[in-house]
Amino acid sequence: MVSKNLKRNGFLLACLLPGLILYCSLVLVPFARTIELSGYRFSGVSTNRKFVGFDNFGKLWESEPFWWAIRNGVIMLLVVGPVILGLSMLLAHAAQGTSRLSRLMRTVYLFPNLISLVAAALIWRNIYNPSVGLLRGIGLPGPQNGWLGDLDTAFPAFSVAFAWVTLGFYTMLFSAGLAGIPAEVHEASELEGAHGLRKYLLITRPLLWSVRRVASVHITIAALGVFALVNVMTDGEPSGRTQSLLNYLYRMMTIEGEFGKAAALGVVMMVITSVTSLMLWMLFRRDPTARRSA
Amino acid sequence: MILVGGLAATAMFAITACTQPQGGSASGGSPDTPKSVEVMIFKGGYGSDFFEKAAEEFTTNTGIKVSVIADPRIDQQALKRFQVGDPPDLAYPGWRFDAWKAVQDGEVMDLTAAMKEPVFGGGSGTWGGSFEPGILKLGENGGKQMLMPYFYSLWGWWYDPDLFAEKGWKVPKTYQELLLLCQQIKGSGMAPITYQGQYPDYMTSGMLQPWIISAGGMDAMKACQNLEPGAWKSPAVIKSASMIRELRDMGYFQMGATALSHTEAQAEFINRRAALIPCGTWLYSEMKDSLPEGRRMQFMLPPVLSDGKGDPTAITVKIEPWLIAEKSTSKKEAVEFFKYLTSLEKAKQFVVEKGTLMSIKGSDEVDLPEYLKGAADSMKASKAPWSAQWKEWYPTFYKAVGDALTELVNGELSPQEFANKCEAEAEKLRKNDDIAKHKVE
Repeated sequence: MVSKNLKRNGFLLACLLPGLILYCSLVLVPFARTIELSGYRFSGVSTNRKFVGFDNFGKLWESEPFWWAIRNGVIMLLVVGPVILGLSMLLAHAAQGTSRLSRLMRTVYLFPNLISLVAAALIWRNIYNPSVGLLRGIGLPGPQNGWLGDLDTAFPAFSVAFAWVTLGFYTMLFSAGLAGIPAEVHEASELEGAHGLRKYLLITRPLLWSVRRVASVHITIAALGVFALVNVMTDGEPSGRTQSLLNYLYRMMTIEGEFGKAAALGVVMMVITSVTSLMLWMLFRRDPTARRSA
Repeated sequence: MILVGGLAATAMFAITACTQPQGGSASGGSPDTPKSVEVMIFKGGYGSDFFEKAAEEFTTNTGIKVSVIADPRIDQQALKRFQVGDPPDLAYPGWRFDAWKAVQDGEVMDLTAAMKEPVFGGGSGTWGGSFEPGILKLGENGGKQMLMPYFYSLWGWWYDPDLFAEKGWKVPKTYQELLLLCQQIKGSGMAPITYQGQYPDYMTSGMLQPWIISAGGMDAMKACQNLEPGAWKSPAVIKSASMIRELRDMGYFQMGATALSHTEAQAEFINRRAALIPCGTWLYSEMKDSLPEGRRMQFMLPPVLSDGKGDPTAITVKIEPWLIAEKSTSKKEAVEFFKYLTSLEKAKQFVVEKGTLMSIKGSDEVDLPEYLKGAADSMKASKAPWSAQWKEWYPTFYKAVGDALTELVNGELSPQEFANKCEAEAEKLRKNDDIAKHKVE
């Protein structure tokens, strides 16, 4: 019996080992080294480092672009993300079914997700271009400094582009979830008199629990990790108003010669993502359908 | 869920992975084996073909092997190599690389002694003497020659001479003339001035600094560069900011220009949707592929205050530095190769092939392309060529001033508030002992 267990565990360990090694070398070691680096002044252009304790965090605290990046991250998490999920849920309902039209609609929504982020960023720069852009062409030239140049409109304008890129993916996810709900559940609920919003809240929404959890986790990753779209579309301009945490980190590493400060920002991002993970975990702690059957 | 956390860590992986020391130098070897030189080249607007060809010629002439690594993101490769203590021998790492931090960290070879050596091939005169002195000085730190210039650019404004002739517009020399001209241009239905608003650098270099100099003299700008207390909220800075603000309030800036990237704004200019644009002498090379047939462009100095304190011939010079690594094991050979690149013959060739000005004396005695002539003449006639070295010395502060400028043209800050914000950022920098402070003499 013991030897059988040992064999089994040995086999499991052998299966896990490659993944474990990869995980340690690609996630845990960089984690640790990032935390270590955040305590040093390190320009990145030499081997010289100087230990400065928490000084890098203090400098971040005093830097304006950092707070813009934080503000934008929070808006992405609390406003843009939920709006995108809500919209995709609506679209998924609208595009339900197996008719040609609904299949076409799902493909159209998914399209932006399939093209490169750089191309998407350039498409949106052209839409917003204050001189030759699409919006100007249809009589919406935007504020005096342009959609992407105005301090107040730049972030909303960016968020629209972000939604355009990501919407299709969640629509598809929810469509698949909806298709997975057995028809007899719908029929039964309708026979019992549940329609419209009531049916959605009592039947569909609880049954989509696992899909919603996946979607929430995914959009959190996408929202906090937004980089390429910002980098190509606005590079954080005007004056930090569209700055993202990762793009600011990248800027400090590449242009400003502040590797230590960049590492400190990496640590701050880790804290933010951990707190967000915890919150999501609490939000989706229990499967509502499981609770009912218990 | 750990994926989310892993995100930040993965982003930092590039940093951590490359900070672990590795083995010795790739180049070099024992003193008797023939040494080779490894050169890293930023593949920007001027490409890398010139340097690759020069490397071959140099090897044929001297027997010293030169290998050229060129890439548009060579800065990242260079960073990795400096971080592990195995830098390339000679590098032109491009504008993203913080060369002054490398100097501060002792990674750059002091070339002061090499300046006294003869030029390549043992011709007459010293190597240092073959450079334009004002431009060579831009690589000095505390009297030592640390960074080297190669080609240089001039900042100014650009106009289309044919359009101006057609409309009967006169090139403005003073700010007052500029206001009148803008009124005329606006009246004709065209936007008077466009700018590369996504990168405030262009407005800093093309308007803010020249007008600080115009209003307060070169001393005002020098005080700003030297971070003297109060310099960034001096009357000269406020005046310059209010000139920019005035152009904005009068509607003389192209609608939406704050949102335009450099190439977008430049496309507005070459397609005659805006009459004037601030830019450096690389403008033509950068836009030549999209230039409409027969379109010409001409350089002008930024229009200055007619009663300003500054020298109206002041001109902003910009270099992109080269350096030889302190840890190189082929310093002598690297110097020799750079001497070859900066020989008068090669310099002239670079001017002709690439259409830019060079830091080598006499290199402009060739047929300059038309768009460069005006700039070269302005440089020759200038009694006050200068360079914005604070940009390279303090990139974070420079960006903060640019951000404030964006807020100024957005109407969020008044000129006074703009100056206060810049001064507050300067104060933060003065207190930051981690960043070495430099002085403009």
